[in-house]
Amino acid sequence: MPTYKTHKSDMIFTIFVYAVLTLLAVVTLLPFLQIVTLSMSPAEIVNSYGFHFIPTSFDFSGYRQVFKNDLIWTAYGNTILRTVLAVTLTLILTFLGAYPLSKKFLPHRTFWTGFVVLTMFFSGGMIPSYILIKELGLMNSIWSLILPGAVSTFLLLIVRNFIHEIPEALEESAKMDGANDIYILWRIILPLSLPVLATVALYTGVYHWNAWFDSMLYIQDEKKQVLQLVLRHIVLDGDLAASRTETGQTNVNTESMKLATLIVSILPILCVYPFLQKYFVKGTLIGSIKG
Amino acid sequence: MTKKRKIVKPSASVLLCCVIAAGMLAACSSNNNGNSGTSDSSTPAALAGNGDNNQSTNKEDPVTIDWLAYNSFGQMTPGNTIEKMVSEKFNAKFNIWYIDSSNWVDALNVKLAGGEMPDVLLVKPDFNTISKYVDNGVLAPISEDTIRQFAPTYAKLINQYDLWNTVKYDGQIYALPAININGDYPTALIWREDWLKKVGITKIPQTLQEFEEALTKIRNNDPDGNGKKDTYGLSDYALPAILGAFGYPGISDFKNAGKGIVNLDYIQKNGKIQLAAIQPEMKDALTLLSKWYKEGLIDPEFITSENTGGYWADSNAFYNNRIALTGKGMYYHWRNQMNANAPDDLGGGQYQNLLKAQPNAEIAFGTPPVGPDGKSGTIKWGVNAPPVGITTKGAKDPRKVETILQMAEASITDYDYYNTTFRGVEGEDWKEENGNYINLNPKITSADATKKGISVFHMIESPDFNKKFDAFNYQFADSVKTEGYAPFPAPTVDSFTKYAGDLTKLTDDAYLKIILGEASPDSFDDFVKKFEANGGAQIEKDVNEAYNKMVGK
Amino acid sequence: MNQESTTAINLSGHVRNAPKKRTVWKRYLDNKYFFIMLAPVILYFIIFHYIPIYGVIIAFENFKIIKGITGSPWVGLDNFRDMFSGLYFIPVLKNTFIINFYKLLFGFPAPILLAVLLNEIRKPLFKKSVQTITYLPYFLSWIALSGIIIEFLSPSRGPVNVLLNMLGFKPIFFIASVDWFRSILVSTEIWKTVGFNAIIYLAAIAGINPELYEAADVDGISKLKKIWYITLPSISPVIVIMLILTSGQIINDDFDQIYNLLNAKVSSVGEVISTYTYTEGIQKMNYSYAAAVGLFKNVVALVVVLTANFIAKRFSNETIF
Repeated sequence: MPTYKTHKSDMIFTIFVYAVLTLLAVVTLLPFLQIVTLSMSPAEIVNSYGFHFIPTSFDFSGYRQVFKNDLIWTAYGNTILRTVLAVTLTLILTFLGAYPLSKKFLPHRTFWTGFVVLTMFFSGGMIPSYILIKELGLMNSIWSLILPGAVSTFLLLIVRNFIHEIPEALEESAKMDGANDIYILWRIILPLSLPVLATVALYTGVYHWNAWFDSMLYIQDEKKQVLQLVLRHIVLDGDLAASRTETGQTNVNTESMKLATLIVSILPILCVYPFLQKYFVKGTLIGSIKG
Repeated sequence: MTKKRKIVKPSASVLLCCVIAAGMLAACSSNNNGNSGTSDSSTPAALAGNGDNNQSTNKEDPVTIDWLAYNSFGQMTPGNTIEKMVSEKFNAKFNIWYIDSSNWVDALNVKLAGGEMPDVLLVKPDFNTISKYVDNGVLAPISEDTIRQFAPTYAKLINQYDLWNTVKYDGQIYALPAININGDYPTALIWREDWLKKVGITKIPQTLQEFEEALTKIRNNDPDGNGKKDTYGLSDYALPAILGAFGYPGISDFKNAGKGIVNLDYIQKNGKIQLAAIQPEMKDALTLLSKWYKEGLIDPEFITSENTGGYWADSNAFYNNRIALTGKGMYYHWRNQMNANAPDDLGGGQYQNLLKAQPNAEIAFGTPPVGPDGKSGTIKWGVNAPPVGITTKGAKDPRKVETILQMAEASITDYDYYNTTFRGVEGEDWKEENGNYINLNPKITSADATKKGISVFHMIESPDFNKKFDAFNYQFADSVKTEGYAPFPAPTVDSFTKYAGDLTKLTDDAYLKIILGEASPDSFDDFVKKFEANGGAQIEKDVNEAYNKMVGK
Repeated sequence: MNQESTTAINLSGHVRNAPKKRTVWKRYLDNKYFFIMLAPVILYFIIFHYIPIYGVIIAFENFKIIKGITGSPWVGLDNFRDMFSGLYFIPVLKNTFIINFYKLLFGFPAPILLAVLLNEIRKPLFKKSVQTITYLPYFLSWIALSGIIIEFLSPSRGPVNVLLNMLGFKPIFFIASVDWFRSILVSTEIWKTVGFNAIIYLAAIAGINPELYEAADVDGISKLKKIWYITLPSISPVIVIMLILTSGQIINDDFDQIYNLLNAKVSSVGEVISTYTYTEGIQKMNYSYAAAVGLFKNVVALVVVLTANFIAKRFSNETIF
């Protein structure tokens, strides 16, 4: 009898879950489809009222405008390099920093935590940072984009708390077997922290993929510029072309070009997430490290 | 469980203070170093010259100039034809600064704050920034005598357009005014001519009465022929032209004002400088607009603007058969006469967009409505273009100042020099045919043009040369030129900087309430009182004082 | 030196007269591996955060570029006075708090709910697809989205009003209505970020020991009960820390969203600190003013976070301090 009751509410619940999620997915997909469609549609469709979820006629001039820029490919490369290096560095530093801070017995733990947390609220701003980068000789170097954001306090605290949740029994039994702190970190804590580290990797990756302001300030050589900045220039150029007075100007469709730049910049990011999703599968890891 | 100690041990906080103090010491020294004005490492130029003062004893050594008197849309390739020509002509070497145009103000200011400075720069976004730069020790005064000595024709031109007042601060000249001749042309007012014909209007409306008649017919008589009463007369872009029938439009851009962007113009009335927003004639204008709104002549969605995306001059409401009258754009956006000599000329960009959306549409350039007192006009941007300033660093070397002035003079007097520096190399970038200029690279991006050195060295645009070179366009512009109101270029005062944002919101709020019928037109008087009490009176007092001081009254 | 004291301590069993300093050093030495791990992170914060922190004083100066940060004249609280005395400052501050409060109130549970629901999906393809789709809008810019939103809510053409019309109601100009504007801001912001913000909770759920669920299955417990008694409590530490950290967002508004959706009719309920101070600050080279606004926001955020931390201590171990 209890089994029957559970089944019924379970079934209703399952239907509810699928319905809600499907609705959410559809509502979310539609604007995205509109943007994709308009990015490859001719001016009359782009300027018209109404919704356009599927392209009815095609006009790739927006994309052509983007890709005829020589810098696009170097920009892609720069951004990929920057993101990969930054994510690696951040993962290492965040993990190394979170583990000690998760130990309640760490001397002056409150002070060290406060030391780190305070930086979330107070910062000197753009000008001292610029002077610092100059003084460190990092102008025009990719490290000026990677080092300043190497550790995010927010993510550090999340990882710290995550590690704190790992049962102490695991560490204690390893210690009794003679392992030192570094071994424990590498062999026990790290595998169990993969979900949160995947989160850190994703959040950090997204941040660096989208960043452009630091590149604008610190990178002078246009061949070293990042993708988002190059795309901004392309959009700006479209506006400039549209405001030229001379006769014989080709009409640049600025709206579809802007949307094309948007799509160009997010496609790679979209492809990354499905690969990371395997880290969010529950429970397989804790089970493997028993005893 | 024992309560966790939250007190940080004294020794630890001392440690923290030491760290911060160490940081400040490091910063002090770095800041002093930074202000030594060394040449910035940011230029791609491999030119040997350093930005430092090049006081050579030998007069034949070229003078080195750190150059930022141009719109850096791209990074110029050093050693190109145009640069060589300019360097030779003026015996100068150029270190070209590059500032990212997508965020010019931030990118430049951070460099300035970091101790780097060019010799000459473009003062963006407009002359109002001059006082800030002077205050911050960036710009140096230029003596009027020096200007008249080395750039006499240029000086006369500025006299003609009466622009010296815009670059003066505390009685001295701090920048070289630049002219945007397009700013002398009022923004266009565009009618759907095919609709006018459809509802039986044969003459383009000129008086307010005729406007009202035409717009009413547009609203009621289904000009697009789809059987629905879904057309309106006008939306936010054309509203200032209606205000203009009574006097200077109190709001010149409803969309921007709605987002909080400062929209407070000065006018000169009875010898005094006043703010356009509170002039009594605006009350009558708003009364009329509220009547029109009630009658459905104004698109109720004008609040979210007729432009819902894309380039600012586009009007989606106009393209989608929703309104009959639009504005805000310039003559070249809507040009509907083609240049027979230019290959593939299809007219203005916005005109092309309209035709793509409505292949059978016809437009006519209208004239702003004439009001009861005979006034009329659309907004003119004004001929002030971002001026060119010489920095405190550049001013230390008189040779630099001289060269810069000579370059300005050349742009105004030497037609060939101007065309080359502004448009590019003849035969490569453009050519002349039957007195018409043909662009040989119409698809070139601004970034690539800058790479070749185009529009880098001209510094000041010459209105006469532009008109001569681009004859077809300016003939067309002259043929559709109407009355226009240009904002009075008054000096910047601190109270304006302080109160303008709030006063714009106050104005926008008051105007909108009257138009939408949520408040009676009599509320205008209360609005004026509130406006003056919250900084309006202060601004008018300060600006008149500053202006009188400037012109020596 | 240290070795002697260590020996002394070991022999005697505990430290009696040893100076406090040596105890501290010993504790650090005991945990040397931890400090070796922590050292690069601390170094990073010193170099990139604490060294430039002197820039905070710009908020108390009348900053002149040529004089630099250390040479500009001190004006104390003048910049803050300027900020507070703006005609619209108080209403703008009120708007900021109200809008952010609703964003937190509804926007905080939403990603948790999404993660929990996603967790219930068995079919991997459906799960992956929904996950990927819902995380998409985070990457779309507000410039592109605002056009779509305005169109969607248009009183003459938007589907919402077309539906209302069919049901016999009069069309509502949502985006220009003071009654609806805040709701639009809140709901669109939540929709845009829910998928991305759910990721942290998905990670937390992935760490739950599956034996807990297996045991529950044996007892025949329903799905809803499993969520309530297993899933949520297991991820409550993450929920608490996220709540504390995001509570500081009460003062941080989303400039891009609001600027693009703002129009004249709703500025009384929609204008927030960042749009209000937009033209004042950097655009007009008024760095002091911009710095003062930034500092004010940060101090408020700090106070809120510390308060949230203090309150949370009553309920959980997983706080910041």
